[in-house]
Formats: sequence, C-alpha cells, structure tokens
Amino acid sequence: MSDLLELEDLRVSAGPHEIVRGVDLAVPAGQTVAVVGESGSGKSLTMLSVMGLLSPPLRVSGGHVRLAGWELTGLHERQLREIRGNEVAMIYQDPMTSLNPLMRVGEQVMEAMTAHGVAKAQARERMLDLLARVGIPDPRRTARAYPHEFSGGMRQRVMIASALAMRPKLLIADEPTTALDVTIQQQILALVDELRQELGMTTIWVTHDLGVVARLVDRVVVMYAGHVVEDAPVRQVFAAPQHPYTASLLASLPDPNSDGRGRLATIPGRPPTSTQTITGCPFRPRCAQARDICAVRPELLPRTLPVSPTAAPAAAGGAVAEPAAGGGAAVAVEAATTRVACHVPPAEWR
Amino acid sequence: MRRFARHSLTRRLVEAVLTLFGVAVLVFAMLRAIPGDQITATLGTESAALSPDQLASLRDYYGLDKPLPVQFFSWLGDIFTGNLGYSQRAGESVLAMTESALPITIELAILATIVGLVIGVPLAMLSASRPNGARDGVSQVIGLLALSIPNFLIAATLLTLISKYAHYNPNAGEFQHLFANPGVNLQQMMFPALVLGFGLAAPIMRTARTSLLEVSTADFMRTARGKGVAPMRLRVRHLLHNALNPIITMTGIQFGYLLGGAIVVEQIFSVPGIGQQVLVGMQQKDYAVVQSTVLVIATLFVLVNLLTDFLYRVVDPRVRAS
Repeated sequence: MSDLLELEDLRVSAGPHEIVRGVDLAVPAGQTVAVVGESGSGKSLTMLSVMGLLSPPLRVSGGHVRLAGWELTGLHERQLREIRGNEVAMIYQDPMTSLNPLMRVGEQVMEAMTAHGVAKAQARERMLDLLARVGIPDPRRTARAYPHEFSGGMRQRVMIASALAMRPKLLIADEPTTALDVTIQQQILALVDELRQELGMTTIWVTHDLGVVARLVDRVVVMYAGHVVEDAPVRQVFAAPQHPYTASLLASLPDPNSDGRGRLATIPGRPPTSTQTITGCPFRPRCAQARDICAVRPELLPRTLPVSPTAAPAAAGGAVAEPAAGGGAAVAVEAATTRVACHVPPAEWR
Repeated sequence: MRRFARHSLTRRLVEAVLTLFGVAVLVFAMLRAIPGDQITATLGTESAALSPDQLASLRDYYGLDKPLPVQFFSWLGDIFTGNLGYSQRAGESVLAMTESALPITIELAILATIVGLVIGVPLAMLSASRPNGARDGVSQVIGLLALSIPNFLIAATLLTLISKYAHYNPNAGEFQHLFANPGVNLQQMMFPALVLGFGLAAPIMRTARTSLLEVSTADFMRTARGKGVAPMRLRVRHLLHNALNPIITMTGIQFGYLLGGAIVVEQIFSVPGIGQQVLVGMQQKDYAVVQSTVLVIATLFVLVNLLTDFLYRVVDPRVRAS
C-alpha cells in the first residue's frame, strides 16, 4: 500500500521554541485517521504544515512532508498554491471566522475552483451542485447570501463545500464541530463522513475528543506535547491502550451508562510548555507508571499485540459502544502493529 | 430591520441639525467676544473720532444695537431663505462669494484625496506585506516625513524649485476655473493637490497599515490561502476589502478638513478657495462672511460624515443588516 501522506521527523518551531518535536506519520491512501491530543499538543500545527499554512513566527524547522511521494517541504509558494485546495483541503475549527464576511458564500465556494483554473461558468454550476450536496436549501438564492446570514452549522457546510470543490485526495478536518451546537455536531460529522466515502478521500480528523470521531476512523494517532505517543488501529486503542497517556485520555471520557454521580477522571498536572526542554517521555511528570527508563527519550516502538476478536471497546464508553449506528465503523484494519512511545507495557502498570 | 434603519437615519439627521446649530451659536458668540466690531474694522482708528450720534446711527444701520439673541436669530432666519449676508468689504453677497470659492475648494479637496489614496494605500500594502521588513521600514519613514514636514514648507520649496529651475509656475497667472479652462486649471491645481495629498497620504498610510495587519491574521485569510487563491486576489478581494472601513473613516475626516479650506496652501498657490474667503473675512472682521462661511463649511463636514456612513454600508453587508 502506498502512503498518500508521509511525515518524517516533522518539527515546527516558533522562534527558538520547538512546538512539534519530531512527528512521524504515514497515512496510506484511503485510510481515515484521527489525530488526538489536548490543545497545545501540536496536532493542528502539524496539519497546517502539511498545507504550508503556518504563519510567522511559526515555521517548519525540520523534517519532511511528502504527499503522494512529492516533497512539500521547501516547495515554492507558487507550487504550494497549486496543491492547496486541489490535492489537500482543510476544514477549519471555527466557521464563524473562517469565511470572508464581505464575500457572498457562493463566490467563496467558486473561488476554490477558479483558483485552480476552472472556468467561471463551470465553477458556478458546480458550486450550486456542491451547495445542494452539503444540504444547503435553495442554492440559487442562498449562494447570494453573506456568511452573517447563516448559522454556524450552515457556514460549516459552506466550508465543506469549498474544501471538496476540487475533489482533493486528502481532507484534513481540524476540529470541525468544536464550535458548533451539539445537535449540529452529529450532522456535520455524518456529512463529512458520507462525502469521504463518496469521493474516496483519505481523511484526517484532528480532535481533542476521541469519543466524537471514534466510530468514523480506522486508526488513532495520539499526540502529546509535540510528540506522537501512540499510533494504533482504533479498536486496539480503545481495547488496550499501550501508552499511559492514551489510557488516561480514555479514562476521562464520560460514560453515558453511568448514573452521572461519579466524578470524571482527570489527568493531574499540566502538559509541558513549548519553552521547556523535554528529555525522555514528555508525559513522565504526570504519569503514575513512570520508571527510571522513562527519562531516556523513548522512540516510537512497534509493539505487536495479540488481538482477541472479542476485544470490544468497553473502555471507551457509549461513544463507541454502538458502532453499528455509525455505519462508518466498518474497520477494515487487521490486527496491525501498534507503535507506541512507552517502554512500560500495560501488564506492568501499577 | 427596515424600521430600525429608518429610525437610525432620522437620528443621524437630528444629530446633524443639532451639531450645526451648535456651530452657529459658537461662531456667532466667538465673533462677538473678541474686541472690535464692523464699525471699528471698517473705519479703523478713525472710529474713535465718531460722535456718539454718528456711532449710534451706524450701530443702528448694522443692527448692532439690537440684543444679541435677536441678531443671532435674524442671521439664522436669513440663512434659511438663502441669504448668507452681505460682505461690506467685497461689496458682494456672501452667497455669490461662496458660489465662486466653494467649487474650487471641493475640486482641490477631491484631487488631494485622490493623491493621498493613490500614495497612501499602496504604500500601506507594501508595508504590511512584510511587517518590520525593509519595505515596511522605508514606507514608515516616508510616512513619518510626510506627517512631520509642515505642508507650507513643502509648498514653498516646491514652488521655488519649479519656478526657478523649470521656469514653470502655472499659479502665477490669473486663476482659471475648471469648466472655463480645464487645461490651465488642472495645471494650477496640480501642485497644491500634490502638496495636500502628500500630507494626506501619511495618516491614510498609517491607518491602512494597522488595519491591513489586523485583517491579515484573520481566519478567513488562512481559509483563502488554503484554497490556493492567487496572491493578487488574496490581497485585494480578501485583505484590502476587509481593511477598508478604517481607511474610509480616516479619508472622510481628512476630506472634511480639506473642505474647510487649506488656508496656507491656498494662499501660497494663490488659489481663491473657501479658506482664503474665511481668512480675508477674519482679517477684515467681516461678520457676515465669517459666520456664514463657517456654517457652510460645517454643513459640508456633516454631509461628508453622512456620506462616510453610507460608504460603510456599501462596503460591509453586516452594517446594511443592522
């Protein structure tokens, strides 16, 4: 299987401070991946550097980004422009601020096509189709509306339409539902997932809430303090997390089956800041399982797990307890190798 | 929504009328507060030789013996009938004087504003494209120079240079009106417009730079870049368009000031605009000229403000909606 996206030791810095500290990630064509982490873990910056959209003082300070075998790091802005919106597209976190307030929404969708040489008349026709496809009523009329006349959910639909206009190979959805009402969240998630299947796009969901996307993805990449700490098939992550940080994240998901009286689990302490130098495991100061060996920087280690077919994601709570409802949870990944940045196997956790 | 819009328009008009009334009171009171009156201004030191009877009859003639409120409202009432008063010195009605001077000032103000925008906005875009870079530094220095060198200095230097070395001074001859002799008129307007425009470019440039820098970090700019939008379209359609409102505000204010007459520059280039009219009126204590001209200028200022508000609506659909 060829990898559509390849990140190799990717580093992002702001001035002298490194925020993304060497990310390795390979996403095969057609796969759906969740990149999970707290805010500040570097997950959004990693994805923005794929798009070449970091703005100063942020910059890629090391490593490689390859898309379909093409090296993107160090590419001229003009060449990057041909790729953006065409090969890779992104849906952003806040639809309230991500649309130009002074431009009609139809034009904003068309622009994604005219920027890549599609003739205006054709772009207009496709724009109307796209708006209809993402569920915007009466596209002919609404295309003339301005963003402020739309609700958050509708705006996000417009964002989706403009991201998918050129049928990109890779779609990056950066917390696309965080700013939306809970009732709208599911609609948007379902819409993006539907379109993903329809267009056969490789998709990366960036989120801080694993529960939200659990049933949409094949694989989960957990980031902490600019590092990837665990990278595994989704079922394995829920069934048998191999890094204590992943385990803590899962434990802090609310369980809809509980009576609501218990307290949610929290992770004590705070992630390191970008100004701190990290040696060894970045999670070590907050980790109950930390040993002496954790002070040595652990690399991502392959760890093959015996996967039992009954390894139901019980630990995940209700969000994934009913995968059938999502439809998208037909995880086709076999018992693959988990890669994890922890030397202490779960069997030895206290 | 429409009802609210009409309501806000009414409110703005009421505000405008109140402002103008305030200006009228102020200018009337100020002229009376400074020592001397039309009689002393006309006769000079000889007015001391007037007998009390002569003085009284002159005061009666000018209406100076009436109580101030009566004088004030009789002036204001006349204005509503289109009678701006009569200039003793010029022997002409203030309305006629204004009709000849005002178009000249408006033309100069428009030309200067165009020059200011043409210099200021591109400079700001250059400057904001790479903040703290070399281009930014150069633009900022130009802006600072334009702000700190007084325009009479630039005007006098320019006039000296062109007439001495290029033997060219279109302003030396008699002033020609735009519609009477456009060729000569534009030559005569060119230098004052350049001088005023250069001074105008500085505040426009600074305002635009700040506004552009602010917009450039907005999320929708990242969205547009993420779509692969070409740089020129990115800069004009997304960046500049969204940065326009503060630029309009600043330009509106500056344009309003220019309508008050660029007194010094008009003087240097012998442009018979409204600034000169007020200046001469003040020197000669010509009550009617100063009072009425100031009121005309204030009215224009208020109108420009209303126009600025209207432009916001054109630029920003959100303003239209609220």
